[in-house]
Formats: sequence, C-alpha cells, structure tokens
Amino acid sequence: MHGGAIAIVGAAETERLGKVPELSVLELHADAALRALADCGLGLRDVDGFATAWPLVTDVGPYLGLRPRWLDGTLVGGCSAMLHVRHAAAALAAGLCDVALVTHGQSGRSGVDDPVWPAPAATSLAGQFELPHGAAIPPNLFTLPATRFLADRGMGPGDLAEVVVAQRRWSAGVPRALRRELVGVDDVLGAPMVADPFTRDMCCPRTDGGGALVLVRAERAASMDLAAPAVLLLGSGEAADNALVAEMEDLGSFGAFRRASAEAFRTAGLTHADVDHLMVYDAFAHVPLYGLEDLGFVGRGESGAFIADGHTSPGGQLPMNTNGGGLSYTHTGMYGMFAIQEAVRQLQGRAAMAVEGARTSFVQGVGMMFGAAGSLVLGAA
Amino acid sequence: VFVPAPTPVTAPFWEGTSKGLLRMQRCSSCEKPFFYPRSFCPRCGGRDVPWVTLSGRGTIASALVLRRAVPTILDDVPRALALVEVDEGPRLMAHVRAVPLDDVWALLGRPVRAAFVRTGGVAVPVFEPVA
Repeated sequence: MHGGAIAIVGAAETERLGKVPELSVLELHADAALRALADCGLGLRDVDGFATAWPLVTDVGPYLGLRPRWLDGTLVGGCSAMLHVRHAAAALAAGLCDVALVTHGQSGRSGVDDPVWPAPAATSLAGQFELPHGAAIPPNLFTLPATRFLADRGMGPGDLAEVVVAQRRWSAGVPRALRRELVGVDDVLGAPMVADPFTRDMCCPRTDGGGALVLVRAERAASMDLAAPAVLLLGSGEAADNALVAEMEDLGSFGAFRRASAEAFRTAGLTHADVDHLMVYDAFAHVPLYGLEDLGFVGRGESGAFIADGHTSPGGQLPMNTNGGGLSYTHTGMYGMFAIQEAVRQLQGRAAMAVEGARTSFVQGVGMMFGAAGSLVLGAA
Repeated sequence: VFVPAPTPVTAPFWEGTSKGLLRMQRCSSCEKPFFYPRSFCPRCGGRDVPWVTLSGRGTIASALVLRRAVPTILDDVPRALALVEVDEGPRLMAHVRAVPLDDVWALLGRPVRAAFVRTGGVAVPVFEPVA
C-alpha cells in the first residue's frame, strides 16, 4: 500500500523522560512536536495534518496553534501512534494534507494535568464483568491470559524473566533508559510479586514523556535538507479484537496481532527474513512472547527459547526492543510512540545501541488489554 | 469493593445470579451460547437470543494471584483471579475463592462451580473448587 511513498522526516522524543514534573501533559506534546519539527527543518505553520490520541485531538491541536485540514483522534490505547502513522500515510497519499504531525505526551508518573482516564462506570462491560472481581489495573488484566499461554507450551515464569534479562542487555547501553542495570533470571524472579507469576520487573514502570513524528510524501522528503535520513513507511496494518480479555478467542494467541502483522507484511511485500530489527510493545513481559509467535517470527512454543538463547539480544539474529522496551526504557501509558521512535533511530543510525546494518524494522503495537493492534514496516531510505 | 449495575440488556443475567443461577444467552440460529449479554448473537447476528440456565460448572482456563490492593475496588488480597471456561463454552472472568494461593500454576485446569456473593444488593458470581 505505502510502498515507500510516505516518509518519516522528523522524529523526536521530549528532551527529558522519566520524571518530568515541570511539564504538563500538553507541554510534553509541545516539547516533542517542536523538537520533531526542528529535526526536519519545519515549523508549526507548515503542519496541515495532525493526529494524537490523548488528550483529545481538539485540545492538543489548538494548544500547538495548529489549524489542520486533516485530523485523526484515533484512541486505541498503546498502539494509537501506529494507527496514526498508518492513517497519516493514507491521508498524505490521498492529498488530504501535505505535512502530518503525530504527537504523544503523557504525564504517567507525575500526573501533571494528565486527564484522568475515565473509570469504568458500574454499568459498563468492565464495571459489570471485570471490576467486581478486582481486575481493575493493567497488571491484573493484561496479564491474565498469560498463565494459559505459558502452561500450554510447557513454559513458565523463567520465560517471562528471560524477556526482562534480554532487554536489559539493550537498556544497559541506553543512557535515557529508566532501568539500566543488568539482571539475571533469579533477580527478576526474586523481585516483589505484583500478581503471580508477574514480578515487578516483568511490569513496565509509569513515566512522564512524549514523542512526535513528522510525515510527508517521499518526493518531498527527497528535496528536504534533513539532519538524519528519512525513514520510509513500507507497510502497515491494524486490527481490533476484545473489549474484555475473557472474550479472547484463544488465550494463547492474540488475533489482532496476527491480522495486523499479516496486513503489514502483505502491504510491504516483505517476509520475516527481510526484517533486521523488531520492536514488540511490552507493557508486560508476556507480550513479546505472544508477539514473536503471533507475528510468525518463531513457531508455536518457540518464543521462550528463542529469547533465552540470545537471538533477540545484542548480537542476535533478530534484535528486539533495542531501547530496552517499555519494561526498561520508558512507559508513559501509551508506549507505542517510543517503539516507533526507536525503530526510526535504528534505521537512521542514531540509536544508542545501534544494530549494525539495520535496513528494515518491524514495529508491533498493542492497545488496551489485548484489544487493538497496529503494525508498521519501516525501511531505511 | 466495586458494585456492578445492570443495564436493560444485562438485567436477566443479574436477576439470575440473585436466584443463585448462572445464565447466558444462546442463539437460536447458530445454537451457540455467548457471553457477555447482547440483544443479538455476535457470531451470526441472530436476534433470537433466549436466556438459558447453565450448569454452573467450569474449568479454570487461566489465573493470577493478585497481590496489590486497588483503592475502592480491591482490598481483599491476595486472591485468585481467573478466566473460567464454563462447561457450555463461553469464558468469563471471576474471582475464585477457597483455593490455595501459593501456586498459581496448580489452579489451571481445576474444575470449579459457581457461587454467588452478595454485595450492595447485587449477587456477583464467583467460583470455588468442586469438592
């Protein structure tokens, strides 16, 4: 679909990440937006297309002084940014805008003017069928299918721990990452228990931060004076499945991962062998296990050994979550933007832990509690 | 503790639990039960979806042992939380009471049956091991 006709020309995160109590959520959006525009030599006046998830696009756009002729306020949780990029590409291709800005900002740790996510009403599906049982927070919801996934494959808590161990090998070399200390399996298993079998280190932190992307049609990118090479959008996909985790068709597989990633491969015209670098949204340590299997990078039941054998670690055949992932780098709430940022940095040669020769990156996002999925295939120009 | 509130479409479910019955809808067209309640079958779109009373028996498909309290919603920790697959097919989330909490893996596959806990005028379905 995209075939490299759309380019990411500007990409930046907020200057600071982690604990940023002096910036409100809107200021986090603004810091990221201005830095991304500066990255490609453009200004706010050049932007005529705008997408963001949270706060509402009608709040963030005016705060940035934008007067867009194309808007997207898609809010599907953590993978919203993947869908924004996909939708922006379609809008650019259709001539609905010429310069699309995608922003993310959340004050997930400090809570500075961060809009409170509406608590489910007592009449909502979650209010009737989840909250009365105590399943009120992501560590009690998103993780619930994981014991079935692991047990069916003869896997266990050690496989969750190996995800953390592998990703710390990356974050140890990333100065901006929140959790940088190398750990072993026993360290991860010995951390305080949040919801058995998930320990603290298998759960993402909550942080402050933001990120932004600037997209244009590739022919315009070719004529721009860019600080770093443009990154091309080669393919994309999106899908949605479950409002409640109980309705997953198969607790050991996420249908939206399968469908969105298949669409991304199809539209890119690429196969798994073409992928040099992988980002799989990891709010919790089980998600990369589902991701590796559902995206088809490994067979059923092979994800744990694949990670434990070092194939996703530095020097491995499929470097994954090379910023340390949501578990180690940062997790503002909707982490997807940061997964895209890391893929872009890798393809531009700007990553802290550079993957040598990375030309093609696959970025997989998840939204809500196994609710939505967004996939991007990005390529070096 | 969080008290659920019925809507018109879910009211028969909660009327059932108040009588100690676990009920779901079964589509007259494709003959499959489904959950959560709707005025139509999410599988085939059929609109004749009468309520049926289930056996109340099921199996723990997946589980966690919750360790962290959540203000206004969860004070009773540790406790087991599960996705229970009822014998008739659909899955639902529920607290499982009266099970050992020292080994989450031992909960998987355990046969359970529905029990009902009254809270704020509503009977919430939970599960307990089959003796």
